[in-house]
Amino acid sequence: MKNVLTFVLLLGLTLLLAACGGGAAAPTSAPEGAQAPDSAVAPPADDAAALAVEAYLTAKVAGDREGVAANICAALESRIDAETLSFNAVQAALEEMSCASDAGGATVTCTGRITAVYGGENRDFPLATYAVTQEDGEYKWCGEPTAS
Amino acid sequence: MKARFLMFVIALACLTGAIGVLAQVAPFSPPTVTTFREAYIFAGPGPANPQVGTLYADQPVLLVERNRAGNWVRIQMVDANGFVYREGWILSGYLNERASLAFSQVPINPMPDNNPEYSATFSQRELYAVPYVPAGISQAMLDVYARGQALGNLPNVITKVGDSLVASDEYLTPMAHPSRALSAFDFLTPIINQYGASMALPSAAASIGLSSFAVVDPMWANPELGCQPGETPLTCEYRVKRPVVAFIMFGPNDVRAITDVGFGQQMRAIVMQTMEAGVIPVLNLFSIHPNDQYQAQAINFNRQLIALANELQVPLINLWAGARSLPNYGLDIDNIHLTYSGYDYLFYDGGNDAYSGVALHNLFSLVTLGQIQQAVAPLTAPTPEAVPTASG
Repeated sequence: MKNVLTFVLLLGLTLLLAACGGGAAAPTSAPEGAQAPDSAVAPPADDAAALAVEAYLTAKVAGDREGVAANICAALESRIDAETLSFNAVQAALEEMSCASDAGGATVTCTGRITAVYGGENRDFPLATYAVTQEDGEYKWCGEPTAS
Repeated sequence: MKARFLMFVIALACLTGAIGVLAQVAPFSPPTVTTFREAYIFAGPGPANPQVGTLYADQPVLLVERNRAGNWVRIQMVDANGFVYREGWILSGYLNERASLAFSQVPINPMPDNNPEYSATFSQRELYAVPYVPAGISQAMLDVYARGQALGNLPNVITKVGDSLVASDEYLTPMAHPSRALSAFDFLTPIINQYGASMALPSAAASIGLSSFAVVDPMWANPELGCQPGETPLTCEYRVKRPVVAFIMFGPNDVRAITDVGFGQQMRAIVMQTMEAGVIPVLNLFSIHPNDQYQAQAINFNRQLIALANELQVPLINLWAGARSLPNYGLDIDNIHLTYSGYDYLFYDGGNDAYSGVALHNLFSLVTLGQIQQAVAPLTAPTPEAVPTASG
């Protein structure tokens, strides 16, 4: 009887530990064609604007022209090549990127940074607030809002 | 009697005037100089010329002329009877007596620095045809300057645009240092006096890893230098500093990432934006090691810059040709960055222009700036107090 009780207690403890061991929520699947950056906290699946911005930044840092083109707004299409090649000369990576739509839906604010390494020197580019537009039902990254 | 007296007075006046004129234009007397090392003598002021002899260390020769940049001088070997038995050009950085020389007094020989017919490869001919520094400043650039004055650009302010080679604290920044050892380059003094203070502040458009694409990407703009959201580094720098001249050099990064045609298009956009801002752009050909895997591409990149400079009549510095005479073509151990001189102020006493890529780049840039200074002088009066602060 004692052994059964011990077994049940151990089993219960094991199940309790397993339930608590999940830690942070598992990330949602990354946008197609993009690679989840380190330590990313993905936005909710219904925050399409934030997902679009994350997809854009991921493509930009990777030098993925198709990804940039798919997520940039029509007004900035002339900058596709410049945006794609901007980090081409350095080793760049996204760190701790986390984006969320702002109230009003016209902008998305991201935390985290792009780290660039060149010739042994590092430079960080803090992520910022970006304008988004909706085109054909999809959200597109549209640059940084200019100061009024 | 009166007539004789009058004639005497007139003769005396003429004689006095003649003496005055002679005092002002006394003929240059070639000094005797020596070198601290053996030097090849060339038929012209550059390695793409026939070699005509060798000058041994401490062998006395006469210094008769210099090229426009001052990095080469023409010397004459004279025998005991005064007969010139050999003459040619050597690097001025090898001279022993530099500190006692004043290149402002040495006549300039305007002959081409290099002869394309003597370039090592056919593709390099176009690069050797470009002088180290421009022969003059075009009317198009004077028009740009005038536009800049109307826009409120500051006549004593210059800036630099480019990658880590340009962002280096040894490139142009030493102009702001109070110490100077200009050696024989005394003619640089008024240039540094006018523009030097403006180089104390870093450029928002010069950074490690920057490329011709990144300089027009707002993400690369640095808020700490006064850049606003959505503003590119280039736009930010011109808005904050309001310069009249921008020294622009890209290529060492771009050559490893994009095509020469794409590079040419980007550089055109940068130059056009610069001119629209009323800033005189000064382009630079960049040095590449002959064994670099991108050597052929780099030649094509430099050819794009030559075509752009010719089309838009923009001043062009030929650092590529100048660096051919330097150890390892002026490049550091990584074959990308230029060799430093080791000084945070302008130091030429040791002949650094013959050894350091950055020192040579500074010399070419300052000489070009001096040409611009002279050309625009009639268009405005300098205001020494008008130097930007970091507030933006």
